[in-house]
Amino acid sequence: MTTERPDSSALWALAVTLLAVAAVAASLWVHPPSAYRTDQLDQRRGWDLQHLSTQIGAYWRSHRELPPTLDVLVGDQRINPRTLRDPETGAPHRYRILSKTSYLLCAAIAHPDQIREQHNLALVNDEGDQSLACYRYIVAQNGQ
Amino acid sequence: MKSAGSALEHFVAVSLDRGHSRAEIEAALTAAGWPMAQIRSSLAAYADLPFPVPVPKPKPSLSSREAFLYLVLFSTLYFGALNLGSTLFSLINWSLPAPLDPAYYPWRWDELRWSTSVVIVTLPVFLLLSRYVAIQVARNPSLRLSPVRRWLTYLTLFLASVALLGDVTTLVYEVLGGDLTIRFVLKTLVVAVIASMAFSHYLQDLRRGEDL
Repeated sequence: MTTERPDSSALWALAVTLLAVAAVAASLWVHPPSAYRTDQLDQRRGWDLQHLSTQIGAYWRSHRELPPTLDVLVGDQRINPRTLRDPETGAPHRYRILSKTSYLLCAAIAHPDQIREQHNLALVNDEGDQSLACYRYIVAQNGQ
Repeated sequence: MKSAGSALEHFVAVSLDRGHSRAEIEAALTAAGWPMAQIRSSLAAYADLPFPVPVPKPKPSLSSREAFLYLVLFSTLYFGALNLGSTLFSLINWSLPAPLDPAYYPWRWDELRWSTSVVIVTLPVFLLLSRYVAIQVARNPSLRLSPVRRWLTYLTLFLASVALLGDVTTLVYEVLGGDLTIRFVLKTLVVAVIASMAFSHYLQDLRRGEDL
């Protein structure tokens, strides 16, 4: 009896360890720390675009035209200049006017579909730069 | 319970005082229907010394240090087991997505990240504390009778039983609803494995305590 006791406890501890280590390893494998970092950067880019579109909408309501460049918004003190740049590389997000009421905002988003779903955006192909994900915004329709 | 315990102790003290052997006292108490664990512990309360009067041994009493150790041990067990289950659930959701799942939900990863972190922190603490307590108990088997240990062990058995009962009930419910998926069966299995591991280990632990 006394020889059996430590053995069964040790086996139990080994089984618990194996199960937990396997779960942790699988968790790190399916979504490693680098993926979490990418997610967080994408979140920040998504919020940048959201903020920019809100401010572009506000500009449109007061001027009845789209701002010619995003720098205009910084000049108006509507946005923080940090919002204009990628949080990782510092490269500027891109803005392109499509028509009187529609425009594109582009950012170096790693998972464009996720941000599209999260912010309910229209993801479009832009010939300009394939490395950027571009979303189409229309000011008159959504009131922004 | 307390009066029964003190009646037993009184009986043992008087019998030893009158010169009855420990075997005789044990036989008398067994015949009277006392559980072996209680008989042994009441006999163990007196030192086996050639002194005319029974000499009481120091009793294992609930010290704050002991309460601290067991509370940390069992909290890491509960917290770790729940989050191990949550980690495995997230992995099952990832590998077998349901048609109704939204394509993107960031909290899925946050959940997995949190539960994984809890497992990483609680597992080593739980294993080290279990090992430490096991060594202490091996040195001094009467520590098994520690009230906080027994209470938390029974609480663990209770929680594990509730988890198993709930698990099986949910399984039956899903089978009756005709909605049994592999994803669901795997999750049921996860709960069953974790709860059974806790249940079997602590049940065995209690049985060892009763052998004392």
